[in-house]
Amino acid sequence: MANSESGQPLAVAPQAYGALWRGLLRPLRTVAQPAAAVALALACGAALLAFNGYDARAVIDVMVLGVFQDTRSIAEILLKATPLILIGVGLCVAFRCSIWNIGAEGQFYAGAAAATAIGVSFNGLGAWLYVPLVMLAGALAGAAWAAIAGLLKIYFRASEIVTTIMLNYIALIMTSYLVTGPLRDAAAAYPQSARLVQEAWMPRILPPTRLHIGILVALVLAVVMYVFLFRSARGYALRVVGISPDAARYAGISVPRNIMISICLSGSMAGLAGAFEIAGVTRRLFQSISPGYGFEGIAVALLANNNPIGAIFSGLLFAVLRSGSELMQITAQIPQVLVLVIQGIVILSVVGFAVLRIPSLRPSE
Amino acid sequence: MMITRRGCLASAVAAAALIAAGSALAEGAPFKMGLLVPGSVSEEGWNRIGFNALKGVEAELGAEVSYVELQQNPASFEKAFHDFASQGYNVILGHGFEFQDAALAVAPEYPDTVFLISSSYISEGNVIGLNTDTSQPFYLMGVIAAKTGKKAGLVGGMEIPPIKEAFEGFTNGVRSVAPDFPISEVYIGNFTDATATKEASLSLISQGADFVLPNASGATVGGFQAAAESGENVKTFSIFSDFTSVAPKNILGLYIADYARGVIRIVGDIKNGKKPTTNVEFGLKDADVMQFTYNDQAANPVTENVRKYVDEVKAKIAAGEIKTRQK
Repeated sequence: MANSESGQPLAVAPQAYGALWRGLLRPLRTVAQPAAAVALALACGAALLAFNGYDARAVIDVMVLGVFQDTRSIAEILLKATPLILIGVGLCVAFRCSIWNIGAEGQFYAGAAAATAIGVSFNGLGAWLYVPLVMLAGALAGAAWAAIAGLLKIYFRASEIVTTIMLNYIALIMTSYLVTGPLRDAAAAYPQSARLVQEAWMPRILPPTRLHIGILVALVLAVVMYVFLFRSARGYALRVVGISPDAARYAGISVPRNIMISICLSGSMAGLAGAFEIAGVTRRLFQSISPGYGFEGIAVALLANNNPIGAIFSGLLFAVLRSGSELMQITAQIPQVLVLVIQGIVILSVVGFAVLRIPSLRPSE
Repeated sequence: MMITRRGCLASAVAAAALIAAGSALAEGAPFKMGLLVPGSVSEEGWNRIGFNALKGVEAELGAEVSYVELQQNPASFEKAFHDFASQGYNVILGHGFEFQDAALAVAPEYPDTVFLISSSYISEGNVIGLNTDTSQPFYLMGVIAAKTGKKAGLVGGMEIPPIKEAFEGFTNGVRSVAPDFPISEVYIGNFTDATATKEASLSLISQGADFVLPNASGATVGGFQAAAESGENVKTFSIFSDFTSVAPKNILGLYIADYARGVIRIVGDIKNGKKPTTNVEFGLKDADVMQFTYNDQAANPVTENVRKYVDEVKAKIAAGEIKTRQK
């Protein structure tokens, strides 16, 4: 969004107008392509619905009416957006460093598992201590899980794309082990952890809805990460490594160090998202705690052109789609596969528009 | 709060009317049932069972039905219950134990809606668990095994409650006839690998088992293949579906469970204003849900004497005089 790295509005009169125009146009241009991608995708989706014999217009009405019908619906969207924004923002940082972290799903699981382990263990800590502790556990576990891929890349030149994908499976299997073994709720017939101690629950901010403080943390972190990436020397160094490791090395910027910073930051955000999902929503660990947030987060970052502020909006968009998909099934009997196809088209068209943008993404030659 | 909910209900109804295009509203409030499944209903198996129940309710009770596939995503369960309940659905079936927590959280807000949960023993207000007590038919199979064989071999998928309860019933049935009758139990560790079931069954047969009983969902069929290949003296029992064609000489009888029938009956009662007051457990007393029949084409069909004895046991189980497993 506000990607205006230029912007010196206080110039002399004739130039001031030009600068002002540029200042206004620039964010507009940043928004234009993702917006066009989304518009195209939704148009395709509507055509697809019509082609399959559904009244696309009515479906859209239902979706808009239903998704935004009352406080609860809006709270549910924000609830769904929380992990997507957190993961998306984290991935913006990694992708800006050209670290292709495909392992947010696994890092989410690592964070969820650690948050559960901490969240079921203590009594009488008091929420003011317990809640931050659970968040910290999730973030650290996510960072540690991501760090494995970072170290493998630095010391063995192992592609992080491969290692992070593999680590996803390991995290999933380890979670299954935990809920069928050490963390299993003895009273429950099916594999799940015990319920978290009540002091560890994320405070809800809009009762009676389930919305919890996670959304606020996500919004704050998005701004913090934007400032870090685009307004700090460290963030600048990280982006230089992303654009050209050789140039970074020549300039005395440590490449391994920035690789670790970026992958651990993105891992900690995914881990934090996992902790929020456990302590804020489900309050138990399950074998399949994530419906693919980690992968959807990649699309969130991509649609936002790796801009953390943009990730807020793309995260919200995907949350609306997800929320809408359930409602479309219930009210319009649209099979979930069709909804998944529409989501797929959104991602495809986003990628398609990103290709148009490649010259501006490519390092200057 | 009330005003908001009424408002949201009104807008939801209006929204539904936009697409429904039916005259349902003109006839007054129709009876509506919703279904939550943890996966796709287009594949055979657990989710299809729930879907069949929903379709049965639609066909036989004339209810308006709708379902949502939630792909094992616990965070979305509560919202889906709200979505249905706020639109005035009378019955919502959460098809699987995993829906229990979410239903309990949502239910107090919608006292007029009945929340049914499959595979659950819950009974709290308007949240009612539905269960099929598989240990009962398996108890009968145990009786038959002990009356007709020398050693029994059980092949399970994974060691989860539905499977363990079934085998517990079988073992108790065997013990009621012959306390020292040997029983071996093996788990293959999944519900998909029919070859593993077959190998495990063959190995049990080679160890002297002449009655093998597989219970591994999609992988069950391997046990019947093993029996068919091991000669006419190996006996087995077809469970949940009709597998007679796989081992026509070996299968002594069929136990078929029709969960949909049970759900249709319960939902029909609810429609007529008779809400269940406790959790519902389908057993041999529910002849529409549990069918237990014999295969007369088997090489060694169950004799009249044994059948008579089994009928007596069955009557006692149905009457609650015999407990087939620990509760």
